[in-house]
Amino acid sequence: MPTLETIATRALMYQPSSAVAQPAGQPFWINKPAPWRLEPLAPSQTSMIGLESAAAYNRVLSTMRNQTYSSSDLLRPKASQPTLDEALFDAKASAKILISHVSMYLRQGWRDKLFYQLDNLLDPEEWDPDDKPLQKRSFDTFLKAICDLMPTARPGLGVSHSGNLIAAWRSGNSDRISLEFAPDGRVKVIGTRFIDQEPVPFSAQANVGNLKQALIQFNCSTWLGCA
Amino acid sequence: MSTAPHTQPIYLRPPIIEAIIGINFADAVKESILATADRRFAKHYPVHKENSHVNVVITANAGANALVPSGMQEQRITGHKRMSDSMDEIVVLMPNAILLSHLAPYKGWDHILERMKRDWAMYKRPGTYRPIARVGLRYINRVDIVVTGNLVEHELYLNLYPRVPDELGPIVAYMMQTTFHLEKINAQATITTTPVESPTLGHASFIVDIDVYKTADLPMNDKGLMELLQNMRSEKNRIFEACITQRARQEIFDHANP
Repeated sequence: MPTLETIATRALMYQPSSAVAQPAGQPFWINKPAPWRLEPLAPSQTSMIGLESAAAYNRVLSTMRNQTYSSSDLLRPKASQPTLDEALFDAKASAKILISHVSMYLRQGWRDKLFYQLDNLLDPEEWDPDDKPLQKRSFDTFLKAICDLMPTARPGLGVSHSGNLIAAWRSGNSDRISLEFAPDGRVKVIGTRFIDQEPVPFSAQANVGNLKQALIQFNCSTWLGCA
Repeated sequence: MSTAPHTQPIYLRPPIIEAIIGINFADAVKESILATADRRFAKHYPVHKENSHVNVVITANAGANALVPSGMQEQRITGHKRMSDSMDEIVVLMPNAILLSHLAPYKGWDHILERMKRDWAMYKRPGTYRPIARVGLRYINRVDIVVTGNLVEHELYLNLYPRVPDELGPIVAYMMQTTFHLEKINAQATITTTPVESPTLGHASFIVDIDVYKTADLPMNDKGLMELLQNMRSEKNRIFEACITQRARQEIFDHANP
Protein backbone atom coordinates (compact mmCIF):
# COMPACT_ATOMS: atom_id res chain seq x y z
CA MET A 1 0.00 0.00 0.00
CA PRO A 2 1.49 3.35 -0.91
CA THR A 3 2.15 6.02 1.61
CA LEU A 4 1.48 9.67 1.42
CA GLU A 5 5.23 10.08 1.66
CA THR A 6 5.54 8.72 -1.84
CA ILE A 7 3.38 11.45 -3.26
CA ALA A 8 5.63 13.96 -4.93
CA THR A 9 5.35 17.19 -3.05
CA ARG A 10 5.21 19.78 -5.68
CA ALA A 11 7.15 22.99 -5.83
CA LEU A 12 7.80 23.65 -2.17
CA MET A 13 10.17 20.88 -1.14
CA TYR A 14 7.95 20.19 1.83
CA GLN A 15 6.91 16.83 3.12
CA PRO A 16 3.48 17.19 4.69
CA SER A 17 3.48 16.29 8.33
CA SER A 18 0.30 14.34 7.81
CA ALA A 19 2.15 11.63 5.94
CA VAL A 20 1.06 8.34 7.39
CA ALA A 21 3.65 5.67 7.98
CA GLN A 22 2.89 2.20 6.75
CA PRO A 23 3.58 -1.02 8.61
CA ALA A 24 5.62 -3.60 6.81
CA GLY A 25 4.07 -6.91 5.91
CA GLN A 26 0.43 -6.01 6.27
CA PRO A 27 -0.94 -5.96 2.73
CA PHE A 28 -4.23 -4.26 2.21
CA TRP A 29 -6.02 -6.66 -0.11
CA ILE A 30 -8.69 -5.42 -2.37
CA ASN A 31 -10.71 -8.01 -4.16
CA LYS A 32 -12.30 -5.96 -6.92
CA PRO A 33 -12.52 -2.31 -7.81
CA ALA A 34 -15.55 -2.13 -5.59
CA PRO A 35 -16.38 -3.24 -3.02
CA TRP A 36 -13.11 -3.82 -1.22
CA ARG A 37 -12.27 -6.96 0.66
CA LEU A 38 -9.72 -6.89 3.40
CA GLU A 39 -7.92 -9.96 4.60
CA PRO A 40 -8.85 -10.36 8.25
CA LEU A 41 -5.96 -10.05 10.64
CA ALA A 42 -5.06 -13.20 12.52
CA PRO A 43 -6.40 -12.79 16.05
CA SER A 44 -3.65 -12.67 18.63
CA GLN A 45 -3.77 -15.12 21.43
CA THR A 46 -4.40 -13.62 24.81
CA SER A 47 -2.01 -15.13 27.28
CA MET A 48 -0.76 -14.59 30.75
CA ILE A 49 2.50 -12.80 31.13
CA GLY A 50 5.18 -13.14 33.74
CA LEU A 51 6.36 -10.67 36.27
CA GLU A 52 8.89 -8.91 34.06
CA SER A 53 6.59 -5.92 33.67
CA ALA A 54 5.87 -5.60 37.35
CA ALA A 55 8.66 -3.14 37.96
CA ALA A 56 7.39 -0.76 35.30
CA TYR A 57 3.87 -1.20 36.59
CA ASN A 58 4.87 -0.36 40.13
CA ARG A 59 6.76 2.72 39.01
CA VAL A 60 3.68 4.00 37.23
CA LEU A 61 1.47 3.38 40.25
CA SER A 62 3.99 5.03 42.51
CA THR A 63 3.96 8.08 40.32
CA MET A 64 0.18 8.14 40.22
CA ARG A 65 -0.04 8.00 43.99
CA ASN A 66 2.19 11.03 44.20
CA GLN A 67 0.04 12.77 41.62
CA THR A 68 3.08 13.64 39.57
CA TYR A 69 3.33 12.41 36.07
CA SER A 70 6.82 13.66 35.41
CA SER A 71 9.36 11.48 33.74
CA SER A 72 11.83 11.27 36.60
CA ASP A 73 11.02 7.70 37.62
CA LEU A 74 9.48 6.46 34.48
CA LEU A 75 11.56 7.61 31.58
CA ARG A 76 15.06 6.47 31.03
CA PRO A 77 15.73 6.81 27.35
CA LYS A 78 18.95 5.66 25.86
CA ALA A 79 21.03 8.47 24.40
CA SER A 80 20.60 8.26 20.68
CA GLN A 81 22.15 9.93 17.69
CA PRO A 82 22.77 12.72 17.34
CA THR A 83 21.94 14.18 20.78
CA LEU A 84 19.59 13.37 23.62
CA ASP A 85 17.76 16.67 23.28
CA GLU A 86 17.16 16.03 19.60
CA ALA A 87 16.00 12.47 20.21
CA LEU A 88 13.53 13.66 22.81
CA PHE A 89 12.36 16.46 20.58
CA ASP A 90 11.82 14.05 17.70
CA ALA A 91 9.93 11.63 19.95
CA LYS A 92 7.72 14.44 21.23
CA ALA A 93 7.13 15.89 17.77
CA SER A 94 6.25 12.48 16.35
CA ALA A 95 3.83 11.81 19.19
CA LYS A 96 2.12 15.19 18.81
CA ILE A 97 1.77 14.72 15.07
CA LEU A 98 0.27 11.27 15.66
CA ILE A 99 -2.21 12.89 18.03
CA SER A 100 -3.16 15.33 15.30
CA HIS A 101 -3.99 12.37 13.04
CA VAL A 102 -6.68 11.18 15.43
CA SER A 103 -7.65 14.48 17.02
CA MET A 104 -11.13 14.25 15.49
CA TYR A 105 -11.76 11.11 17.54
CA LEU A 106 -10.47 12.27 20.92
CA ARG A 107 -12.74 13.38 23.71
CA GLN A 108 -12.79 17.07 24.44
CA GLY A 109 -9.75 18.16 26.42
CA TRP A 110 -7.78 14.96 25.82
CA ARG A 111 -5.52 16.46 23.14
CA ASP A 112 -4.35 19.31 25.36
CA LYS A 113 -3.90 17.00 28.33
CA LEU A 114 -1.85 14.54 26.27
CA PHE A 115 0.33 17.40 25.00
CA TYR A 116 0.92 18.49 28.57
CA GLN A 117 1.79 14.97 29.66
CA LEU A 118 4.17 14.50 26.71
CA ASP A 119 5.95 17.76 27.50
CA ASN A 120 6.53 16.54 31.04
CA LEU A 121 7.30 12.98 30.03
CA LEU A 122 9.96 13.93 27.48
CA ASP A 123 11.57 16.75 29.42
CA PRO A 124 15.35 16.58 28.77
CA GLU A 125 16.11 17.89 32.24
CA GLU A 126 14.41 14.91 33.83
CA TRP A 127 15.73 12.36 31.42
CA ASP A 128 18.14 9.55 32.18
CA PRO A 129 20.20 9.17 29.02
CA ASP A 130 20.54 5.40 29.53
CA ASP A 131 16.97 4.67 28.53
CA LYS A 132 15.32 4.47 25.16
CA PRO A 133 13.10 7.34 24.03
CA LEU A 134 9.39 6.88 23.48
CA GLN A 135 8.87 4.73 20.39
CA LYS A 136 6.61 6.24 17.76
CA ARG A 137 4.90 2.94 16.93
CA SER A 138 4.26 2.28 20.60
CA PHE A 139 2.51 5.62 20.88
CA ASP A 140 0.57 4.76 17.74
CA THR A 141 -0.66 1.57 19.44
CA PHE A 142 -1.68 3.64 22.48
CA LEU A 143 -3.71 6.04 20.31
CA LYS A 144 -5.41 3.15 18.53
CA ALA A 145 -6.44 1.80 21.92
CA ILE A 146 -7.66 5.16 23.21
CA CYS A 147 -9.74 5.82 20.09
CA ASP A 148 -11.26 2.36 20.40
CA LEU A 149 -11.88 2.33 24.15
CA MET A 150 -12.78 6.03 24.45
CA PRO A 151 -12.28 5.97 28.22
CA THR A 152 -13.57 8.90 30.23
CA ALA A 153 -10.89 8.38 32.88
CA ARG A 154 -7.53 9.83 31.88
CA PRO A 155 -4.43 7.73 32.47
CA GLY A 156 -1.09 8.57 34.00
CA LEU A 157 1.62 8.04 31.40
CA GLY A 158 5.10 6.61 31.59
CA VAL A 159 7.63 4.96 29.33
CA SER A 160 9.25 1.55 29.83
CA HIS A 161 13.00 1.01 29.53
CA SER A 162 12.49 -0.18 25.99
CA GLY A 163 10.60 2.96 25.00
CA ASN A 164 7.07 1.58 25.19
CA LEU A 165 4.33 3.84 26.44
CA ILE A 166 2.69 2.77 29.69
CA ALA A 167 -0.73 4.06 30.68
CA ALA A 168 -2.04 3.47 34.18
CA TRP A 169 -5.37 4.04 35.85
CA ARG A 170 -6.57 3.71 39.41
CA SER A 171 -10.20 3.52 40.43
CA GLY A 172 -11.91 5.03 43.47
CA ASN A 173 -11.76 1.71 45.30
CA SER A 174 -8.07 1.20 44.51
CA ASP A 175 -8.50 -1.13 41.54
CA ARG A 176 -5.50 -0.60 39.30
CA ILE A 177 -4.60 -1.34 35.75
CA SER A 178 -1.49 -0.70 33.72
CA LEU A 179 -1.20 -1.14 29.95
CA GLU A 180 2.11 -1.31 28.13
CA PHE A 181 1.82 -0.65 24.41
CA ALA A 182 4.30 -2.41 22.14
CA PRO A 183 5.22 -1.09 18.69
CA ASP A 184 3.80 -4.19 17.01
CA GLY A 185 0.29 -3.64 18.34
CA ARG A 186 0.49 -5.93 21.36
CA VAL A 187 -0.60 -4.66 24.76
CA LYS A 188 0.52 -6.04 28.12
CA VAL A 189 -2.15 -5.77 30.77
CA ILE A 190 -1.34 -5.88 34.47
CA GLY A 191 -3.78 -5.00 37.20
CA THR A 192 -5.24 -5.62 40.59
CA ARG A 193 -8.91 -5.80 41.52
CA PHE A 194 -10.20 -5.68 45.04
CA ILE A 195 -12.84 -8.31 45.68
CA ASP A 196 -14.20 -8.38 49.23
CA GLN A 197 -11.27 -6.14 50.14
CA GLU A 198 -8.84 -8.78 48.92
CA PRO A 199 -6.48 -7.78 46.11
CA VAL A 200 -6.73 -10.10 43.12
CA PRO A 201 -3.96 -9.56 40.60
CA PHE A 202 -4.43 -10.25 36.91
CA SER A 203 -2.33 -10.00 33.80
CA ALA A 204 -2.69 -10.69 30.12
CA GLN A 205 -1.31 -9.88 26.73
CA ALA A 206 -3.62 -8.93 23.91
CA ASN A 207 -3.56 -7.46 20.45
CA VAL A 208 -4.80 -3.87 20.58
CA GLY A 209 -7.83 -4.95 18.54
CA ASN A 210 -8.82 -7.36 21.32
CA LEU A 211 -8.00 -5.05 24.21
CA LYS A 212 -11.56 -3.91 24.80
CA GLN A 213 -12.69 -7.50 25.17
CA ALA A 214 -9.84 -8.21 27.61
CA LEU A 215 -10.80 -5.22 29.74
CA ILE A 216 -14.41 -6.36 29.81
CA GLN A 217 -13.23 -9.76 31.02
CA PHE A 218 -11.33 -8.12 33.86
CA ASN A 219 -14.29 -5.88 34.72
CA CYS A 220 -12.22 -2.76 34.06
CA SER A 221 -14.14 -1.21 31.20
CA THR A 222 -16.84 0.21 33.44
CA TRP A 223 -14.66 2.16 35.83
CA LEU A 224 -12.42 3.30 32.97
CA GLY A 225 -15.58 4.66 31.38
CA CYS A 226 -14.97 2.88 28.09
CA ALA A 227 -17.45 3.53 25.32
CA MET B 1 -24.15 12.56 -11.13
CA SER B 2 -22.87 15.13 -8.67
CA THR B 3 -24.06 14.87 -5.11
CA ALA B 4 -22.54 18.17 -4.04
CA PRO B 5 -24.84 20.25 -1.82
CA HIS B 6 -25.90 23.76 -2.81
CA THR B 7 -24.56 25.35 0.36
CA GLN B 8 -21.21 24.73 2.03
CA PRO B 9 -21.78 22.09 4.70
CA ILE B 10 -20.46 22.49 8.21
CA TYR B 11 -18.79 19.39 9.55
CA LEU B 12 -18.42 18.59 13.24
CA ARG B 13 -15.71 16.10 12.39
CA PRO B 14 -13.88 17.49 9.35
CA PRO B 15 -11.55 14.99 7.65
CA ILE B 16 -8.83 17.59 7.07
CA ILE B 17 -5.53 16.34 8.46
CA GLU B 18 -3.39 19.10 7.00
CA ALA B 19 -4.10 22.45 5.33
CA ILE B 20 -1.24 24.16 3.51
CA ILE B 21 -0.79 27.56 1.88
CA GLY B 22 2.34 27.89 -0.23
CA ILE B 23 3.69 30.95 -2.02
CA ASN B 24 6.60 30.55 -4.44
CA PHE B 25 8.62 33.50 -5.68
CA ALA B 26 10.27 34.10 -9.02
CA ASP B 27 13.69 34.68 -7.45
CA ALA B 28 15.50 33.40 -4.39
CA VAL B 29 16.62 35.57 -1.48
CA LYS B 30 20.07 35.40 0.11
CA GLU B 31 20.63 33.08 3.06
CA SER B 32 21.38 35.97 5.41
CA ILE B 33 18.13 37.75 4.52
CA LEU B 34 16.21 34.54 4.97
CA ALA B 35 17.82 34.05 8.39
CA THR B 36 16.66 37.52 9.41
CA ALA B 37 13.15 36.73 8.24
CA ASP B 38 13.27 33.44 10.14
CA ARG B 39 14.01 35.23 13.42
CA ARG B 40 10.88 37.33 13.02
CA PHE B 41 8.81 34.14 13.16
CA ALA B 42 10.32 32.91 16.43
CA LYS B 43 7.63 34.55 18.56
CA HIS B 44 4.80 32.52 17.06
CA TYR B 45 6.83 29.45 16.11
CA PRO B 46 9.42 28.87 18.85
CA VAL B 47 10.58 25.44 17.66
CA HIS B 48 13.20 25.73 14.92
CA LYS B 49 14.71 23.14 12.61
CA GLU B 50 16.92 23.61 9.60
CA ASN B 51 15.18 22.57 6.41
CA SER B 52 17.78 21.44 3.88
CA HIS B 53 17.51 19.81 0.51
CA VAL B 54 20.08 18.69 -2.01
CA ASN B 55 19.40 18.82 -5.72
CA VAL B 56 21.62 16.67 -7.88
CA VAL B 57 21.69 17.38 -11.60
CA ILE B 58 23.41 14.81 -13.82
CA THR B 59 24.15 15.81 -17.38
CA ALA B 60 24.71 13.20 -20.05
CA ASN B 61 25.67 13.10 -23.71
CA ALA B 62 24.38 10.68 -26.29
CA GLY B 63 26.97 7.96 -26.90
CA ALA B 64 27.00 5.25 -29.50
CA ASN B 65 24.58 2.98 -27.66
CA ALA B 66 23.64 4.83 -24.52
CA LEU B 67 23.78 8.12 -22.65
CA VAL B 68 27.22 8.86 -21.26
CA PRO B 69 27.31 10.90 -18.03
CA SER B 70 29.37 14.00 -18.55
CA GLY B 71 28.96 15.85 -15.31
CA MET B 72 27.21 16.12 -12.00
CA GLN B 73 26.20 19.25 -10.14
CA GLU B 74 25.09 19.27 -6.54
CA GLN B 75 23.08 22.17 -5.18
CA ARG B 76 22.28 22.46 -1.48
CA ILE B 77 19.25 24.55 -0.60
CA THR B 78 18.91 25.57 3.01
CA GLY B 79 15.84 26.99 4.62
CA HIS B 80 14.07 27.09 7.96
CA LYS B 81 11.22 25.13 9.42
CA ARG B 82 9.47 26.51 12.46
CA MET B 83 6.72 25.01 14.56
CA SER B 84 4.43 26.05 17.34
CA ASP B 85 4.90 24.33 20.71
CA SER B 86 1.98 22.07 19.94
CA MET B 87 3.61 21.19 16.58
CA ASP B 88 0.34 21.71 14.75
CA GLU B 89 1.25 25.05 13.17
CA ILE B 90 4.25 25.01 10.88
CA VAL B 91 5.98 27.59 8.74
CA VAL B 92 8.66 26.73 6.19
CA LEU B 93 10.89 29.45 4.81
CA MET B 94 12.92 28.58 1.73
CA PRO B 95 14.96 30.96 -0.42
CA ASN B 96 12.18 31.10 -3.00
CA ALA B 97 9.11 30.13 -1.01
CA ILE B 98 7.09 30.47 2.14
CA LEU B 99 4.69 27.80 3.29
CA LEU B 100 2.20 27.66 6.12
CA SER B 101 0.81 24.38 7.32
CA HIS B 102 -1.87 23.58 9.84
CA LEU B 103 -2.42 20.08 11.17
CA ALA B 104 -5.63 18.64 12.58
CA PRO B 105 -7.76 19.54 14.40
CA TYR B 106 -8.90 21.95 11.71
CA LYS B 107 -9.89 25.29 13.21
CA GLY B 108 -11.62 26.63 10.15
CA TRP B 109 -10.79 28.78 7.17
CA ASP B 110 -11.03 32.05 9.07
CA HIS B 111 -8.27 30.90 11.40
CA ILE B 112 -6.07 29.84 8.48
CA LEU B 113 -6.59 33.12 6.65
CA GLU B 114 -5.92 35.24 9.72
CA ARG B 115 -2.71 33.33 10.28
CA MET B 116 -1.77 33.84 6.65
CA LYS B 117 -2.34 37.60 6.92
CA ARG B 118 -0.27 37.82 10.09
CA ASP B 119 2.62 35.74 8.75
CA TRP B 120 2.57 37.37 5.34
CA ALA B 121 2.96 40.76 6.97
CA MET B 122 5.79 39.37 9.08
CA TYR B 123 7.56 37.88 6.09
CA LYS B 124 7.16 40.71 3.63
CA ARG B 125 9.99 43.20 3.82
CA PRO B 126 11.83 45.03 1.04
CA GLY B 127 14.63 42.45 1.28
CA THR B 128 12.47 39.36 1.12
CA TYR B 129 9.68 40.24 -1.22
CA ARG B 130 9.93 38.95 -4.79
CA PRO B 131 7.34 38.69 -7.54
CA ILE B 132 5.04 35.72 -6.89
CA ALA B 133 5.48 32.77 -9.24
CA ARG B 134 2.96 30.36 -7.78
CA VAL B 135 0.19 30.36 -5.20
CA GLY B 136 -0.94 27.03 -3.83
CA LEU B 137 -3.67 25.91 -1.47
CA ARG B 138 -3.54 22.27 -0.53
CA TYR B 139 -5.90 20.35 1.73
CA ILE B 140 -5.09 16.78 2.69
CA ASN B 141 -8.19 14.92 3.81
CA ARG B 142 -8.37 11.46 5.27
CA VAL B 143 -11.69 9.68 4.91
CA ASP B 144 -12.01 6.91 7.51
CA ILE B 145 -14.52 4.30 6.48
CA VAL B 146 -15.78 1.76 8.96
CA VAL B 147 -14.87 -1.80 8.08
CA THR B 148 -17.70 -4.23 8.67
CA GLY B 149 -16.40 -7.75 8.54
CA ASN B 150 -13.76 -7.74 5.85
CA LEU B 151 -15.64 -5.46 3.52
CA VAL B 152 -15.03 -1.79 2.77
CA GLU B 153 -17.65 -0.30 0.53
CA HIS B 154 -15.67 2.78 -0.31
CA GLU B 155 -17.83 3.65 -3.30
CA LEU B 156 -20.65 4.42 -0.87
CA TYR B 157 -18.56 7.25 0.58
CA LEU B 158 -16.23 8.38 -2.19
CA ASN B 159 -16.83 9.35 -5.77
CA LEU B 160 -13.14 9.06 -6.56
CA TYR B 161 -11.59 5.64 -7.02
CA PRO B 162 -9.92 3.68 -9.82
CA ARG B 163 -11.80 1.44 -12.17
CA VAL B 164 -9.86 -1.65 -13.20
CA PRO B 165 -10.83 -4.78 -15.10
CA ASP B 166 -12.04 -7.69 -13.01
CA GLU B 167 -9.52 -9.92 -14.77
CA LEU B 168 -6.66 -8.21 -12.95
CA GLY B 169 -7.75 -9.66 -9.64
CA PRO B 170 -7.32 -8.15 -6.22
CA ILE B 171 -5.85 -4.68 -5.92
CA VAL B 172 -3.09 -4.58 -3.36
CA ALA B 173 -2.72 -0.79 -3.47
CA TYR B 174 -3.29 2.15 -5.73
CA MET B 175 -2.43 5.77 -6.09
CA MET B 176 -4.47 7.88 -8.45
CA GLN B 177 -3.58 11.43 -9.42
CA THR B 178 -5.57 13.65 -11.72
CA THR B 179 -5.12 17.27 -12.73
CA PHE B 180 -7.90 19.59 -13.84
CA HIS B 181 -8.05 23.11 -15.15
CA LEU B 182 -10.20 25.43 -13.03
CA GLU B 183 -11.66 27.81 -15.52
CA LYS B 184 -13.32 30.09 -13.00
CA ILE B 185 -10.02 31.16 -11.44
CA ASN B 186 -7.68 30.17 -14.28
CA ALA B 187 -5.81 27.75 -12.05
CA GLN B 188 -5.11 24.03 -11.78
CA ALA B 189 -6.17 21.38 -9.30
CA THR B 190 -4.30 18.16 -8.71
CA ILE B 191 -6.21 15.53 -6.77
CA THR B 192 -4.37 12.55 -5.36
CA THR B 193 -6.13 9.65 -3.70
CA THR B 194 -4.70 6.55 -2.14
CA PRO B 195 -5.56 4.15 0.66
CA VAL B 196 -3.37 4.53 3.74
CA GLU B 197 -3.12 2.69 7.00
CA SER B 198 -5.88 3.87 9.27
CA PRO B 199 -4.71 5.33 12.58
CA THR B 200 -7.81 3.90 14.24
CA LEU B 201 -9.04 0.35 14.61
CA GLY B 202 -11.84 -0.95 12.47
CA HIS B 203 -11.42 1.60 9.70
CA ALA B 204 -9.98 1.73 6.21
CA SER B 205 -8.64 5.18 5.37
CA PHE B 206 -8.39 6.97 2.07
CA ILE B 207 -6.45 10.13 1.42
CA VAL B 208 -8.12 12.76 -0.73
CA ASP B 209 -5.39 15.32 -1.32
CA ILE B 210 -6.57 18.42 -3.15
CA ASP B 211 -3.90 20.82 -4.37
CA VAL B 212 -5.23 23.97 -6.02
CA TYR B 213 -2.51 26.13 -7.53
CA LYS B 214 -2.06 29.02 -9.87
CA THR B 215 1.07 29.93 -11.82
CA ALA B 216 -0.19 32.59 -14.22
CA ASP B 217 -1.99 35.89 -13.91
CA LEU B 218 -0.92 36.17 -10.30
CA PRO B 219 -1.84 38.96 -7.86
CA MET B 220 0.43 41.96 -7.50
CA ASN B 221 -0.72 43.11 -4.08
CA ASP B 222 -1.87 41.79 -0.70
CA LYS B 223 -5.55 42.39 -1.33
CA GLY B 224 -5.36 40.47 -4.58
CA LEU B 225 -3.49 37.63 -2.91
CA MET B 226 -6.07 37.23 -0.14
CA GLU B 227 -8.92 37.37 -2.65
CA LEU B 228 -7.21 34.70 -4.72
CA LEU B 229 -6.83 32.46 -1.67
CA GLN B 230 -10.53 32.91 -0.90
CA ASN B 231 -11.44 31.93 -4.43
CA MET B 232 -9.07 28.98 -4.38
CA ARG B 233 -10.67 27.83 -1.16
CA SER B 234 -14.12 27.97 -2.77
CA GLU B 235 -12.86 25.84 -5.63
CA LYS B 236 -11.20 23.43 -3.24
CA ASN B 237 -14.48 23.03 -1.36
CA ARG B 238 -16.37 22.46 -4.58
CA ILE B 239 -13.91 19.73 -5.57
CA PHE B 240 -14.05 18.07 -2.17
CA GLU B 241 -17.83 18.03 -2.07
CA ALA B 242 -17.87 16.47 -5.53
CA CYS B 243 -15.48 13.73 -4.36
CA ILE B 244 -17.61 12.54 -1.45
CA THR B 245 -21.13 11.23 -1.09
CA GLN B 246 -24.02 12.37 1.05
CA ARG B 247 -23.54 9.27 3.16
CA ALA B 248 -19.97 10.32 3.95
CA ARG B 249 -21.21 13.77 4.98
CA GLN B 250 -23.75 12.31 7.32
CA GLU B 251 -22.01 9.24 8.71
CA ILE B 252 -18.32 10.18 8.73
CA PHE B 253 -18.04 13.95 8.98
CA ASP B 254 -21.10 14.61 11.17
CA HIS B 255 -22.80 17.02 8.85
CA ALA B 256 -24.18 19.74 11.11
CA ASN B 257 -26.19 21.91 8.73
CA PRO B 258 -29.91 22.10 9.38
